[in-house]
Amino acid sequence: MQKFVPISPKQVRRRRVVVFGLMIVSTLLATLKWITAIPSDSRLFTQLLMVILFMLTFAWIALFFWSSIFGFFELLRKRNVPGIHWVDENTKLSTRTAILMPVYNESPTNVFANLLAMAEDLKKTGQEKAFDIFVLSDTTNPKVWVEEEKIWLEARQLMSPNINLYYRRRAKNIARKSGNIEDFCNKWGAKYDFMIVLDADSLLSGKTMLTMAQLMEANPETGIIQAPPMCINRNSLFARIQQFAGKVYGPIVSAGLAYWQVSDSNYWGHNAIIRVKAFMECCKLPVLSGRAPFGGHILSHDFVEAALIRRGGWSAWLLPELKGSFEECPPTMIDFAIRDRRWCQGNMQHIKVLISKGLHPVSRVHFTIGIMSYLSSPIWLCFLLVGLMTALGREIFPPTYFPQSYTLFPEWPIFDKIGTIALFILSMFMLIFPKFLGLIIYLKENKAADIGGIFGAIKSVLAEIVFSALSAPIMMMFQSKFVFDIFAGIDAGWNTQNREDSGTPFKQAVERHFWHTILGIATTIIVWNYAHALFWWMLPITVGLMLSIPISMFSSRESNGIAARKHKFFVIPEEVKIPEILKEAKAYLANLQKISLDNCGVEAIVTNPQLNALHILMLPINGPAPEFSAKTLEMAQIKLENFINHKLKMELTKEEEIALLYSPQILRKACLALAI
Amino acid sequence: MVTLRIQSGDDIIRAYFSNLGFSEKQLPALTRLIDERFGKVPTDGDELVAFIDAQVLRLAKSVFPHSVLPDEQLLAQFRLVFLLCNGAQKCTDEVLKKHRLPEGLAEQMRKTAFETAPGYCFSDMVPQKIESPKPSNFFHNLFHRAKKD
Repeated sequence: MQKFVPISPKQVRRRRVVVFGLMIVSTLLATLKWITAIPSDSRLFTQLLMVILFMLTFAWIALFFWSSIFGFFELLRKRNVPGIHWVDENTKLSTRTAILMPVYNESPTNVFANLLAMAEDLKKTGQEKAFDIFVLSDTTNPKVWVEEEKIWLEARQLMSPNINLYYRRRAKNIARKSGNIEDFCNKWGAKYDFMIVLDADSLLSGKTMLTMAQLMEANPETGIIQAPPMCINRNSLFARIQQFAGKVYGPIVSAGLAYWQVSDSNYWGHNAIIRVKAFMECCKLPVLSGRAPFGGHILSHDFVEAALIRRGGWSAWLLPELKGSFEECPPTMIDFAIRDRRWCQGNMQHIKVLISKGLHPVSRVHFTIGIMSYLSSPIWLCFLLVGLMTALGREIFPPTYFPQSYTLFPEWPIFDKIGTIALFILSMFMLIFPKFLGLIIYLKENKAADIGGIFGAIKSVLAEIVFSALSAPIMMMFQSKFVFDIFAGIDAGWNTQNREDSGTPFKQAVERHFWHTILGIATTIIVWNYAHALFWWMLPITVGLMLSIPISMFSSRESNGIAARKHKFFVIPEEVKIPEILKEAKAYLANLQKISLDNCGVEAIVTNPQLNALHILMLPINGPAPEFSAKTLEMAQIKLENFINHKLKMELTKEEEIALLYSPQILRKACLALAI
Repeated sequence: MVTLRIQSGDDIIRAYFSNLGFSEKQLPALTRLIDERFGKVPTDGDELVAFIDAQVLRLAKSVFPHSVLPDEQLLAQFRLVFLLCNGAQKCTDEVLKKHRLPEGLAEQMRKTAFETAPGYCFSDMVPQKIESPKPSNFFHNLFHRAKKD
């Protein structure tokens, strides 16, 4: 059992003062140095702009650095997050917990395989009866809807009889994931004390889920407990690099955050347990005024929910002690960027929430960090552009060494080259050093063999640093565009995340990175010809941009990821000693993949009597049918009749298919007609 | 509505019971039984289907006497669970004659039946306000914190 570490509010305040104080002091010192390093012949406005942009960029790096340093020492001293009461693992639960899996056009086989593995793992704790599982579908694709029903039926039969596996689909997905959870709370929330919220790719060990529920029972003021998820299961090179970084650097980052957040932590939207009462009291999200992207339903609901729960007087915890929490990361740089687009919009929306009434100051810091994680890209871009423009300006308008006023000596423009190099080295140190601290902690607490041996681990860290350096300018360009798009009023929409290692085809890479490449080449030519002094400074950025297409494609390949693993690059312990729950998930996946999902949709419902009965049985729980025109249904019926009577292909539109799926009598009759 | 290409009433009866998993061997007896009960030549397929539904619904109610599902869903549940339990292999046309399934099968069906979702327990979430900042009370908004009751 973990030990209770007491902490007073004064000590919590002191922690925050120290971390943010160090951030501010280091930023001020670096900025003072930067002021002397700016070329003295620059205009005052340019100088001011460069100072502000530098300050913002450096502060961002400094917060990450100091947070990681404190995280490192917390882990070194093996200190638990203070203020939370731990309980014996054999403590019997007297509460009920709902495990919620909200899905939106995801692969049902993967989703249900993970749920089956989690249920199997829960069974080992002997307390599985305290948990119910809900698959809350917001799926809009009719084929995936029927697949979900089919796999659910199979999974239901494979599931331990002590755990209920429920399924419901919403006809209208109002407010996306947060609306989906709200719908659950309105209908069934009163039956449960806690809910564990998952993502489609989440995997939580039974022990972790039990511990989370026990902690909620033992800490009645707690509203949310977040278990930091580790990325697993992917093989593309890009994903493997993310997985390795998460495994080795993630713990000090989490411990650092937990150090200053304590009971005012954040919620990351999944792999967390929430007290239903607190959620229902505090988390019915309003619709923000104005139109999307800033107005409308709140996209990144998790941060807001954590802030509102905190506003309601409940505590929120990030507990790095909770292991056995997994997720999958996007397999390619482009998939990562697509997800980032959605997150970026969600975080920009938080600008409206940030200064709303009654929030805890730390919640405001969470919002600021979220906003800055995207705004830092255009800030960095502006910083580079201003620097470049200044250099070009000097080329076009050379400095006046002998001004009109009479002087004995020429006025040399002052440029503190050594100071600039020192700041560059300092920035690099602050970015890279925590990675080695992460490695030290990892090697201290675990076997080096689990991450490819000491040599393998060091070369992986070095390779990750090179990859991060090359991909940083590409991500900067992506994120800058996202921010500009959002400010221009372009909405991200709601797309399903790609979770397969499919590799980026050349055409897609060119579409996405064409302008990055052009910008990289153009900058290199301009800098080489007109601002040669900047050439080597700009090279790390221009190389990344010029090579964006090959980098994106190369890193997206599964074969390259597997080859890297063979050479002991980016190995994670979950690949060497596969946790039981991962083995179970894989076994269930193999089992469920045997189920044919061909021709799912209406065709499956009318040709398979079992599925027909199941679908009709489940319709009312899905709520009232969405509106569709009589003409749509009429056209759908004609196509269905042609399929039955003349064996013609149905070729239904999505609307027609949905209309039929909400017409139980027609489906029933069609099923009979086909049996004649 | 979908048009059933009906050759005869027997076609419908056979289709109905083959959808419940009954084999070709079992179908003639069932068809005879329904024909006798129905007692006329069907002019409308829907009428005949509704008649068989009523017979099967009676069975469903005997298996799930406490069910609160509407008839359409109860019938669907019966069909589903009957298929999952291979009910057709465990009974004959006798079940329709007696309006009761063999107790072993009925018990197995009750055990196999499951809820798709638990019964509703409605409760509303409390709407929250996120107030847009106004210049006049900007700092008040920023530093005033709500207290838990």
